[in-house]
Amino acid sequence: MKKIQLTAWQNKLLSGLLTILAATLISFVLIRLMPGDFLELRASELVQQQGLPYATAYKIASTQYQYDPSVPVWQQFFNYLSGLLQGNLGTSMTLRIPVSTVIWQALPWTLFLSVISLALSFSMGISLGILAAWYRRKRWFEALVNGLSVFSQAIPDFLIGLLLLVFLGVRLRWFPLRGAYDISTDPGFNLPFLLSALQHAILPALAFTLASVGGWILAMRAAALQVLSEDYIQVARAKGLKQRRIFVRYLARNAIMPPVNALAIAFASMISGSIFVEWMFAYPGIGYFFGYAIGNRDFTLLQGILLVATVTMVLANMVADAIATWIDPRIDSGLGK
Amino acid sequence: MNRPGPFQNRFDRLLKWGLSLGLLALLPACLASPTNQVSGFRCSGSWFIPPSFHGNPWSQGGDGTHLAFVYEPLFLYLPDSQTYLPQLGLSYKISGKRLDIKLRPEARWHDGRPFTSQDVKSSFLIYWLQGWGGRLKKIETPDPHTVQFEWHEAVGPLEIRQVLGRRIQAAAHLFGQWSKPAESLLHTAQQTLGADRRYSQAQQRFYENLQLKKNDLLQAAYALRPPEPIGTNAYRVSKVTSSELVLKRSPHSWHKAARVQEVRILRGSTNDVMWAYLLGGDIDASHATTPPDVAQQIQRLNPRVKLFHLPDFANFGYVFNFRKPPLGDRVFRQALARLLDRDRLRMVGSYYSLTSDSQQLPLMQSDASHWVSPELKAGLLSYHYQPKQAFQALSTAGYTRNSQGQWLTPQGQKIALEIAVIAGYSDWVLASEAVAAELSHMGIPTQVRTYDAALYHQLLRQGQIDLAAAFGFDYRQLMHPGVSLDRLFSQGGYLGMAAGLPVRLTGRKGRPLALQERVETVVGSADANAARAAAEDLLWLANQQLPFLAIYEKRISVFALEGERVRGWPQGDDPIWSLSSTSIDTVYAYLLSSGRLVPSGPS
Repeated sequence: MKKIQLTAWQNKLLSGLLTILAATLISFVLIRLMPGDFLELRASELVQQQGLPYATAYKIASTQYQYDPSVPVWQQFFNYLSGLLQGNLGTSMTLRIPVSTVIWQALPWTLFLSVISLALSFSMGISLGILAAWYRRKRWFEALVNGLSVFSQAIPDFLIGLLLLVFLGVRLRWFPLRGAYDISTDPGFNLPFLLSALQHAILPALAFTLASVGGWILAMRAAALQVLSEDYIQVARAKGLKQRRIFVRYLARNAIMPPVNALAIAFASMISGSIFVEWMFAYPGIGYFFGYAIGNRDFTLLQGILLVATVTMVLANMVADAIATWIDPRIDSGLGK
Repeated sequence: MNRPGPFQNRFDRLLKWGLSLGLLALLPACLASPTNQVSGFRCSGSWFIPPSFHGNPWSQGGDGTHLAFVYEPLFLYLPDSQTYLPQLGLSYKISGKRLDIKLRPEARWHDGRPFTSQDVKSSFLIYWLQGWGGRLKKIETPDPHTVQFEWHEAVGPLEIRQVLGRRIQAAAHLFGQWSKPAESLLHTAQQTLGADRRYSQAQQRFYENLQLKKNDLLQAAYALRPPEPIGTNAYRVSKVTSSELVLKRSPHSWHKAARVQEVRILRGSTNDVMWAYLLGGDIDASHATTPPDVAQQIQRLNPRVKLFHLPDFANFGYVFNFRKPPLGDRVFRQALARLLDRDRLRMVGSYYSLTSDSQQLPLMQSDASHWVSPELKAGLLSYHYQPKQAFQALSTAGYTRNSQGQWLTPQGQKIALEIAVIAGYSDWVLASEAVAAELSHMGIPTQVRTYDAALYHQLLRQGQIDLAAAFGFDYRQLMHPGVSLDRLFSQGGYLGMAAGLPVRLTGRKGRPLALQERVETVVGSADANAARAAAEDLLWLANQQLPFLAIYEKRISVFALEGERVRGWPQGDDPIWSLSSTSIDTVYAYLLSSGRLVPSGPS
């Protein structure tokens, strides 16, 4: 019998699909195990408002939210899965609009914010991290970078967001306090709207950036110190190569690998992990609706957002692999067959 | 040995370039004009953000602060002067079981269609589908400007207040398709069930079936998705984003006196965000619960900000779970009430509020004299801060303290309590932390646990709490103690369920009282004396049994910015402020639509 030989990329694709399926199943079950029964909440409201017997109120609540808890979870899962295969993410139980509508409108804003803040924090973090390793004997510089890392790691993004809101938004009035764009502009490909969107993204993006730059600095510094202790660096120095060449070709190129791998995970995490900042800045992204879905126990919306986060994570990992291969061709030996 | 740097001479230059480029990137954003220079009225609030926003006020997605500016009731009730301000209604007459209302002929919907009695009927049929009007017989519309409500029996002031004060938000040309089937259901219901609430088994089955049919109709009505809400008030929704909702003056509105052309609502669901708006002078009015130092800072930065303290018509406090020992013991509950320094707790939780009355009656302090007769007053217990008396009462009832000073039940079990609070309600959490500290200090270890709203309500209904922070005695919307007593004592009452109160309790004359029947008499009886007697029975029970311990009668701190974009805020003692019993946004909407608030520019 002929053995099916899969290429490395086919392998990755298959394992990605299996990951998505497993994550969908696990999140589906976990969501339904969350404490706080929204049907009970709604039924209690109906008992109070209409004086109904509890059983009738519960029945009405399950009709209103189009959710029948008596259907076994496995059957609910297969119904959901068959919908998914037809491209249907379901209807939000509380908002009563297709989940895909919510996601398609919210995702671009989160992507916009994520790309800006990740680009800023990553470029700042790896630059400062590698310089901190290279100039580790310059005390003032090391103290500065360490201070920034500690500040960034110690303070959560929503607190940084609040401080930015107060100082740059309220006191200095440099940036708008909330929202994604000025209401006087017309959304579309026009300069006033684009400028306004950029202006509104700065504070939330800074909140993310300042909260995550410390992580990049530490990761890059650790990787660079590791590389600096390698023999080939000593050999390069002994051969009298220019410092710039050692820094760029030998140090930076090798030290950047671990942060690049982490970049993909950081990007995917931002898709669903921006609840507090998006809520605080009334930014209409995925995180905002994720927070809403958790608070209101909107299972279908929650499930849809988690699916997007999972798919993003899998895709981001693939992109990270591709970038790593591009930077270090030796990795290709395992992938490029 | 110092390592020679690759950019030894360029390092400082690199840093300078980096910083300069960073600042340049921020420049376009900084050049944009500050947003607070926009004219019109600005306040903070919440709404569903696109794409979930729509124009159906009856269902989720259509709800929000803007509704107060878009819709209006037939009359606005002013509790301070106990008068009604005509809005869509011009006059009303109560005769026995009937209420006749004359409507304003010049009123129009935002889309230009005339406002008629059919619109009132359509709105109240939806309210009926939602559960209002248990004893309603019919709604008739003899002409376009007259509407008649008829009940099976004469109804009390609470029912009348609901008809006069509820928003008319179902234009017949949008929601009329559900009026006919709803009316037909109402007709069948009144024929089958009649006025008697004591249903036979067959009637009970019919009633439950009726609720399912009503629910089907409601579902269809909820599914309507107009892009914007169509109302009759002075303003109509113009644009909605996640951060701002803009309303423009409607050219069809009958409020010709309204001078402010635009209302802009900025998203502000938490106190800290509203403080940020106030500190920056971005809004003209806000009602964030504010500690005194923050209030002073806001006024220091914006000397034109006026601060008013208005009644919120609700008492904050703690509901006790009777199912959990020792909270089921009346002596223990009464001792807890005397162990807590409510005045201090009020200063921690909500500085500008009023410390609750020592007799713990489910009434607002301003209203107590109307409902408490001298005979009742003479028989009431007082719960002043008296730790020594509380300890003595506990000891007399068999409670003891161990060597660590912790209180034990008469059965010798250690007492420890937990307070359930909704996460994010900062003033509730602060007050509860102070309660926990006081009780722990007195030998009753207590901890605060915060829950998200969905879980909190579930725990409350299932009685899985010891104490829960809540708004207990609550008059809001209808300004009547019946609202409080219903929450506390009726079957399915929000607090009664949490407390796990029995169906009957022994009343002041030693006879068992059927709580549901007493509540229905207070809420629904047209006989003022019967309603008062029933209310006294329940007030006495609340005082003796203490299912809820009120800490403070909340007052809203309204910050009003005079002269920046608008001027004309009323004085603090103006009765118009008591419109806040409906909602503070209703006050703003009324001041704008009536022309009392005007643009601050030259007149």
